[in-house]
Amino acid sequence: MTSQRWTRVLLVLLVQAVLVGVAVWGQLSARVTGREYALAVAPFDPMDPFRGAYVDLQYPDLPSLDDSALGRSDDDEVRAPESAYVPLVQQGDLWVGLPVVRQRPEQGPYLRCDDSSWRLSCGIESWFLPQSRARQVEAAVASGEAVAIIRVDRWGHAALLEVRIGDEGRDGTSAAGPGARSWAGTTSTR
Amino acid sequence: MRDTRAGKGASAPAAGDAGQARSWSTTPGQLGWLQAQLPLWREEGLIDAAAATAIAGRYVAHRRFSLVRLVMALGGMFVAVGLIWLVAANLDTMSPLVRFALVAAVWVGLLLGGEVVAARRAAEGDSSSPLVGVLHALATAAVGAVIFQAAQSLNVPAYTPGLVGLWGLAALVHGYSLRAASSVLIGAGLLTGWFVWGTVIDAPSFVSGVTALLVAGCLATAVAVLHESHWWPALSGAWGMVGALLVLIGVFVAALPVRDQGRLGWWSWFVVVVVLAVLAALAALAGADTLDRRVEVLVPVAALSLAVLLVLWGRSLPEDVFDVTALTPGLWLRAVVAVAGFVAVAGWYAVMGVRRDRLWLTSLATAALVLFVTVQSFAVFAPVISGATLFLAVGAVLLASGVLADRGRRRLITHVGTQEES
Repeated sequence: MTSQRWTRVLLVLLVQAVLVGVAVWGQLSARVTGREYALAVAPFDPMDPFRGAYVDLQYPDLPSLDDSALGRSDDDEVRAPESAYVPLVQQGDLWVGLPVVRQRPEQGPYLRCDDSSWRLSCGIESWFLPQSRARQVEAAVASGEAVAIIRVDRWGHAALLEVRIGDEGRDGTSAAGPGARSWAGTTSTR
Repeated sequence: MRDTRAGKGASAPAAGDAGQARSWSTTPGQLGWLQAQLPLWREEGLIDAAAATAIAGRYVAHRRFSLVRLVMALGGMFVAVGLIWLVAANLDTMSPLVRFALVAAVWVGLLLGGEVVAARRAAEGDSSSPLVGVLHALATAAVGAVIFQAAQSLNVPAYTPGLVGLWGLAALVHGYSLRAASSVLIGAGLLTGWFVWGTVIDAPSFVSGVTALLVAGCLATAVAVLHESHWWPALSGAWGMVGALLVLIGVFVAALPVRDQGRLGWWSWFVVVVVLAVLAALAALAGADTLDRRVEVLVPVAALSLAVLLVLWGRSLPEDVFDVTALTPGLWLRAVVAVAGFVAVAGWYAVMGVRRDRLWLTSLATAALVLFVTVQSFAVFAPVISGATLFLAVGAVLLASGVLADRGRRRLITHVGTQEES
């Protein structure tokens, strides 16, 4: 193989590796540079055809897609999607979201979300597990209290680290506190 | 004699030692024709024996489509599907990082292995090895597996169209950098999927889906014509296939009796692709050197107009679209226009396939036409008269068209013969 051909192959490898990075850069940035927060969570279980079983998580303490809160009405023309920001404040052990705003908050932690589809998506809605375990988690979390541990970077990108159930380990600021317990011990994605 | 080097079926000459004549690949049919013509040319004194021998020895028969290619293509497809499925299986026997490393190793191995094999085949003079094409396609599938494994390992939210778009972009980078038509074909298909999916997510409506399909078809067709006339003829077929498929699917779907009051959204990428399609179509029209190529660019545009008209017209369908007692003459006219429009589009693609020796295009258009008439018969016409009515009507039109065309051909032959005699 000629050197020119080798150069092209290496270029393809490099560009494709960059594209892989682009695909996950929000989650990577949050995991590497972010700070941990705990949010209340409730799941249900569909199947994603591309990536196997996952638990679709809902966050009761985060705002839903409320047109009135976002200043839209049904009569408006379909408009281009804009960034939606959810400021976070601490309440007891957990963090909760304030109503969605359009301008990036200047202080405090916040989530950068997308409101272009049927739900407000903040990058922490899917938790991938083998299908059988996903069903176990769904059942267990539906019957108990669950807490999602996420990391959020300074730009609002969030990454889901793990889900814990029960009263133990409900440390609102650190996932590694004493007595912290993860569900099934091996489902952490870190 | 037609220059088969530039024509269909001929491929680049095989590498040979210095001083030896190079050989060209051509189809068995073309080689048979040539071998039948050479003795005639010798008898007429056009060439001598040495020239006839040299010409005959210049070409070797090579089948574009062979059992080997079919088996390898199927095998490659199954392996690609299995690889993506393996990612979907979410095996918990290995940690996410190990799984990612494994999939990445497969990807790099396929990419490098494909290039090593391509280099060896090129050195042996085998310029169209099916194994090289399959390895390129597998490497393209593998980069998709890497993207999805990375997304799974880091819990990127499900149903993210952007991942499919990035996979398509990666496939195009592979295809254009390493001259891999299979990768370009896969990339064009993936980017289409991303575009249609994203448009429908932004504005979930029938008009959004149909418009996205046909805008993508217009863009792909314009790109195909640009490749054929200016850029890279070898990749024209891949883009042309995607364009034709999208146009046929778009009109097919638009012709269905669907009552939808939804709106067209203006997702930012939708606007970008529309602008790209317009620019590409204008560039292709400006650079097209034949009427066929100009028409090829305009047919998808006409199909887009027809499809949007049918979708908007469908808004006046009754709530129960199969309640034939509620159909007005205007809606019956819609059904007739839909059938006539699709037959015209499919017929044009079939004719173009014959004129340009693109068997795949003729087959695609023919299959689409049969499927369309069948679906329309059962979905629209069966409740009223009989599904057979549509088959009879369309069949009669096609037969009549064929008779007229054959009459024209015989008249032309007679006219030319008369001119030669005089």
